[in-house]
Amino acid sequence: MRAVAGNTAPSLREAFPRLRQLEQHDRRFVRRLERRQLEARQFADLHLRGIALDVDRRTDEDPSYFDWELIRTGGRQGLLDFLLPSQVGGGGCLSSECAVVMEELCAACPGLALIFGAHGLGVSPLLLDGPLHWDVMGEVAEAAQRGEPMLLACALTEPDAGTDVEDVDLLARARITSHARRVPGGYSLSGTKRFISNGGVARWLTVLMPVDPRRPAETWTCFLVDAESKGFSVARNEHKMGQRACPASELVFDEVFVPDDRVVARVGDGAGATLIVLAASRPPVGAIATGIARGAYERLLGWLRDDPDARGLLERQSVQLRLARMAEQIHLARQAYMDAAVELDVAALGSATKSPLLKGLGLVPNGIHRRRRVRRLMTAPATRDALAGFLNRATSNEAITRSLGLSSLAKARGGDVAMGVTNAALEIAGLTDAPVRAELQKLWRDAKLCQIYEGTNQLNRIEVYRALVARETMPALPPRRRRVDSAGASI
Amino acid sequence: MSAVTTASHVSAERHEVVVLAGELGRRELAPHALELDDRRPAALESAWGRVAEVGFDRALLAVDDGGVGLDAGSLLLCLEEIAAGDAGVALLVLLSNAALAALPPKQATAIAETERWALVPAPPDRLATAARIAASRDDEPVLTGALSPALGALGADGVVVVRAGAEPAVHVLAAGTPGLKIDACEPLLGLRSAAPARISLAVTVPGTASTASEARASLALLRAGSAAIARGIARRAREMALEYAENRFQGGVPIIEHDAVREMLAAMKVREAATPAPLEAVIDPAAALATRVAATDAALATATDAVQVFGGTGYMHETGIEKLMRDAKSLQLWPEPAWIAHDMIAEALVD
Repeated sequence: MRAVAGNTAPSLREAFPRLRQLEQHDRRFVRRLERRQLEARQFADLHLRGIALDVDRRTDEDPSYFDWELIRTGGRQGLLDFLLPSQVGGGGCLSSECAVVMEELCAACPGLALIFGAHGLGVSPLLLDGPLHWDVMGEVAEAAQRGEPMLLACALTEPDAGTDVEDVDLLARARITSHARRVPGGYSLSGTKRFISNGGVARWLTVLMPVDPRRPAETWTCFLVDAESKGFSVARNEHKMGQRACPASELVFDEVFVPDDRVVARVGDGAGATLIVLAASRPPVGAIATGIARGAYERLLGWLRDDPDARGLLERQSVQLRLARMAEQIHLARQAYMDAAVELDVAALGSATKSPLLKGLGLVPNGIHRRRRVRRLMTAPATRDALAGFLNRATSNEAITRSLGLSSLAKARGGDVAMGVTNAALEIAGLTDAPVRAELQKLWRDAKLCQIYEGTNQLNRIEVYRALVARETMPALPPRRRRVDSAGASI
Repeated sequence: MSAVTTASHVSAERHEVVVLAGELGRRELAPHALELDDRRPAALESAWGRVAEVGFDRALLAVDDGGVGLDAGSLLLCLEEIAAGDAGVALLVLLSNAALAALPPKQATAIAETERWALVPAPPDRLATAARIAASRDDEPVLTGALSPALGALGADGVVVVRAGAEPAVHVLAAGTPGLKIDACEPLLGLRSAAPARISLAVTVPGTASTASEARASLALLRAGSAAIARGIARRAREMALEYAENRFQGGVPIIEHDAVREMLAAMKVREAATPAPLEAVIDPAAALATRVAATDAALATATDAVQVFGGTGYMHETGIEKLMRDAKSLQLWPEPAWIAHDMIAEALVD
């Protein structure tokens, strides 16, 4: 795609007028967001725009094509570690910074951006488990800076369970075929995961499976799996309609051993953790959609202004009205994702992230976390119960549920806006012979996925109903204590 | 326009030929839709071979002239059936018939049965595009400029260019004519079996081959045909979505039992009812425009929802449902996008 000379997209303060007020209360927060936006925009203009169409074509011909060089560059510039805790050398960012970054990257190329986004999704469950996996996260941060990126992915969807695994109630009745069986020293994972973004290129996977397939919701558990483990394989990469640069893979787990200290949180904490992860990941998905819409709008506007063949069109009221509607939709989608992200970062998780306990743990040298005795202590039931207690004191199910409601709203609205704006942009450009047609066609294909992944828009709206209309409280937080039976399943 | 008739006394024959088109779509094209979408040469050749064998490529020509003698309304019904198999092939059938129908009978019948021609509408003046042509010297027009993307023109044995505007005209250009270049161009999202071309023109032509009203009628046929193809896409999308919804389980029940899915399926049926077969539109240019806009909008909405019913599976090429969405979107923009069509309809209303 052509680079946009002198990117004229709105600055953060123009995009979110209310930040001017917010700055008076938390100047540092606003400054960090501004810096992230600027860095992401520069990276997108310099590294993504120019290759977007080419990578899309290559992956159409060969779905296993992957642009490692770009990921190396992005890793060196902090795009693989900004979500990692500052204690391991990461950026310590949460949902709002991630969302701002994703809008910028997606305005250039949603497929390439998704590689970084899916990596962040893979990291997310680990953030809920205190310092236990800081050793892996530290390696990921170091590897990124060295230019030898180590990607993560989150493996949730199964061939017979897509929407089901995104909702606690549906999960209870889902056809789950995967199974994490208790074995001495850990768990043995078997089953197939499908449509896993980054699945085929990730070094580490956060994998969700039930310990007791008869009770998937109660025993849904997250495991951190090394992709070099025996029994793990990538069955294939899907041929997608859009967002092709990021491979969606089918993953096969054939008796993959995961040691006890790579269980993320406790056995049975997976369903609640999924809700927290979704509350954090859906604002960035709303931002992905907003970025796609903005990318289409900006390209269309550039064509209308600069291409002699489009001369006169901007004077047409029909075109002006459509452009105004596009600008209106993009603005509202952006406010929705930022509302949701700030709600999560500040209102729901603010106390947890500012906890002196976590900051204190960061002072402990990273090597300590790798010592066997320390790891035994960290995985002891009492320690894990203490962590659950910490989360319960730092936030509440009510706060997480409200965040999830706003996040789902932002995701569903954003998905529809991406589809609507790319549809409208193509309508104005028509079947022009200009290069802008190929760019808009790509963004239109990319947009559709925003209505599907991270839960279909229909499921997201059901969650908006439950959280914001019916004012239900969802069981996101782990119980303070859990007991585990002899098979390793929570009871 | 030579061969378009509006006969209404052929219902039995019409039924028979529509059934034949349905068989062609369902049995010969639908199983190969993905290969056609991937532009596999063997699939394209085989599909067109079947079309030509049955005579759909020249269905509007009289039987004595080597055609099937179909009326335009019957052709539209057939296009819908063929489009349910593959919209691109249906478009090739439409373009072939529209090209032949735009010509005087003698000229149309002179085109060999083995040849495939395509009608190429010049874009309306109000549409911004690099692809425009101009005619100079009224006594012996010289066509200059370019037409792109000209759907179905790639690999055609000739094109019939129809210029709209104040003085519509029809120009017949056989492939190989000096000054005529037909090259591949950036593909569309969908309709990929009707591959587009960039036609470069610096050609002296002997004047218009047909009258202005015949030129307008051929464009009306094109738009009504586009509406028919859109109906075929929408029907196929609804059928596929329904079948999937009955067999895919989520939450312990088939997804058709979820209101969110039922509503989408019901809305597909409502749209189908609201955009009936465009049988009358073929004789009224303004009605043809309006019908085309309504039908292609409906097809896009239905195909988009069908992908949604499939969820992640629908986003994958192998299921063939996202192809219908791409086909519908391309059809919505051709031969002009809706906002231009609205403009033209408003102009017709004022007139």
